[in-house]
Amino acid sequence: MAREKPIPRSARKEINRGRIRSRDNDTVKQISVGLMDIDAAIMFYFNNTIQPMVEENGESIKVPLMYSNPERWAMVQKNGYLVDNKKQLIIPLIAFKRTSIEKDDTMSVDKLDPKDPKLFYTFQRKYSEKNRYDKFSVQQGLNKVNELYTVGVPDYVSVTYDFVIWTSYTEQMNKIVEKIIWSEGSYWGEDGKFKFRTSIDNYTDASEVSVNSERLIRTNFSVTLKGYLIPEEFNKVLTTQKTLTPKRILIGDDVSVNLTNLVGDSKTKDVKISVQQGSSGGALDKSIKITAGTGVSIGGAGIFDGTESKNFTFAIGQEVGTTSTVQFNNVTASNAIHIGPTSFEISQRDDGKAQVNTDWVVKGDIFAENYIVSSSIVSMSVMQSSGSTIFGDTIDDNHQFTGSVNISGSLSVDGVTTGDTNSYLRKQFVKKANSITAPSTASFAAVTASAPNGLTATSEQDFVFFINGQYMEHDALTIQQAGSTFHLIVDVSSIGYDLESDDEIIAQGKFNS
Amino acid sequence: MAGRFLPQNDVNLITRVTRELVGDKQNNKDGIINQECVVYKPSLQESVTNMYGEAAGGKKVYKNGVQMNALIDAEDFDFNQEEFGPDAGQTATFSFLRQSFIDASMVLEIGDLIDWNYGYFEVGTINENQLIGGQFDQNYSVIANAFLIRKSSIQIERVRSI
Repeated sequence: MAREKPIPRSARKEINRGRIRSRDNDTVKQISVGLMDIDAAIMFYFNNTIQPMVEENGESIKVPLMYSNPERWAMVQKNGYLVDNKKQLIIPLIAFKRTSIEKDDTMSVDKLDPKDPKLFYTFQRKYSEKNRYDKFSVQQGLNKVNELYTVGVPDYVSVTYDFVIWTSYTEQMNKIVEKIIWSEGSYWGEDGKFKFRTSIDNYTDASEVSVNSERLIRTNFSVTLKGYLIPEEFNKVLTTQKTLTPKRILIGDDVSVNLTNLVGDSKTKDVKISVQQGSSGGALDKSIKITAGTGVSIGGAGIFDGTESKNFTFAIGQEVGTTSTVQFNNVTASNAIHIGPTSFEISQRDDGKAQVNTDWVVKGDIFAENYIVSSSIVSMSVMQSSGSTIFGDTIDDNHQFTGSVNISGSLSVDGVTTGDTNSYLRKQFVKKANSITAPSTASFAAVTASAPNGLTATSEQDFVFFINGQYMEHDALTIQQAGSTFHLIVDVSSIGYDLESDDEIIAQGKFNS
Repeated sequence: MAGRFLPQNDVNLITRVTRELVGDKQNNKDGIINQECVVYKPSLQESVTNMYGEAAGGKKVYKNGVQMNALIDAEDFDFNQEEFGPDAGQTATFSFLRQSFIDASMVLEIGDLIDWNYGYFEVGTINENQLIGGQFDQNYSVIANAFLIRKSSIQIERVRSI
């Protein structure tokens, strides 16, 4: 085979190598929407969603839908189920055909040159092998590569279809038309594929009966569909283009490039720029001065002019990582402080008081100048593990309780235990002398009740004695306690009579029981 | 079953006379008139149709053609010159003896092609309405009204040179 010489440079086509990119492993498919996709969407929606049915001989019959005017052999032979043995159409039957396509001029589509459209929609593939950011790339100063796909803006069209429904009976027609009316205005198509908004203006009903012809019920209606068309390629130029953003932009010192040409007008582009120096090396036009600031110390602080490498070490005095133990002198939080794994919060209330949003357990003492329980609390329980409580430290301290105070233990007031006092005060017993020693002594089998601390000791004033029912004057009486026997000693000269053994002497007073 | 005044012998006579006039291709007997054509039927199994009911792009496959004798009455060519310039059209009527299709084990249907006079005619309508003695079981003929169809549409022959 003879060798061929290359074609002249002037005759070669201009090739943009940025567009020559393998798409073999792409999962992003070429996008194309054609008229057949739109027609198929209508047919699918009719057959699978609307599902026109009629009742015939007690059976539900699915009404076939066909695109009008098929090839004769396909209609009569291939789709033989549509005709009977006399080649008459079997009805009910629905036929439709596309009657017009109108371009929607209200949608702006650049089409000055269909081989080179300028209007694109660009989307980014979020996850890909290229779109990664590893440590090696960081060391090399490489940007992560974004995988972008640009798709030409489609042509927006209004497509009109004419539908004809034939049935034998109006009742069958009603059922079909009702279902179509219910679905009108929705997006017709298959789930997961393209769908198109449709609308139906009106329905034309007609019952056809004429001499020597069959009675037919016929309904015509037009469907207007808002669709869009985009070919997969035009003159071998794909409408879906794939681009990858550069990992790094190198600018040699012999190249003058305006930075805005690289990043565009946006000031938010994340672009790393590496400066590649010439072989002879060179200083920066404007050197960089590194100085320490508040809270930051810099090892090697000084001027970097680019002539040689220089290390700068930035330090802030301690580790501040999430697992570090950090020490500060004062910490001011403008809003709140969150502490602990479940993040309880210490914050300042509107009235300036501190607030904790969880229970508060104090293992040490609580010192407070005032202890106020919020009035909104209607029940307060205090549980002490052990120990006693002291209120006040001087005799003039005044402690007030509003409401009742229930004390299960004893209450001592100014050294007097109220429980013992009450018990002593309630003691009042009656005894009868079990022996009388004439002329002046009567003996009782009883014990005098002992007065608790703080009360006057029990005396004969706490007793009343009666002899044979007559009161005995106190100033002539003396009492004595001898073991378990209570003695009444009478001054017979003062009282004026002697005690006799058959006298009945009754005592009432502070006996122990 | 023949009618009361139409014995089977008479039916056989009519059939025999007709075959002698038209020809009997199935039995290799030429007729007096002896017009021949070839009937092509599409293969329904192999032909793939799209949602529009058409087998485009070489997806239409025909079974082998069957030679038949028929009385052929072709109209004059009709040239339409309004839209694309001179464009020929022709209609023709192919009248077959029904028995010849029975002998060939085939049925002529709408959409079949008939190769005649170096052109192809697609069957548009079929009339089977000649009943001997008015008996429908003595259906005698199959008359196909066909029209000349473009060779570029039927995908039997290569037409284009470019």
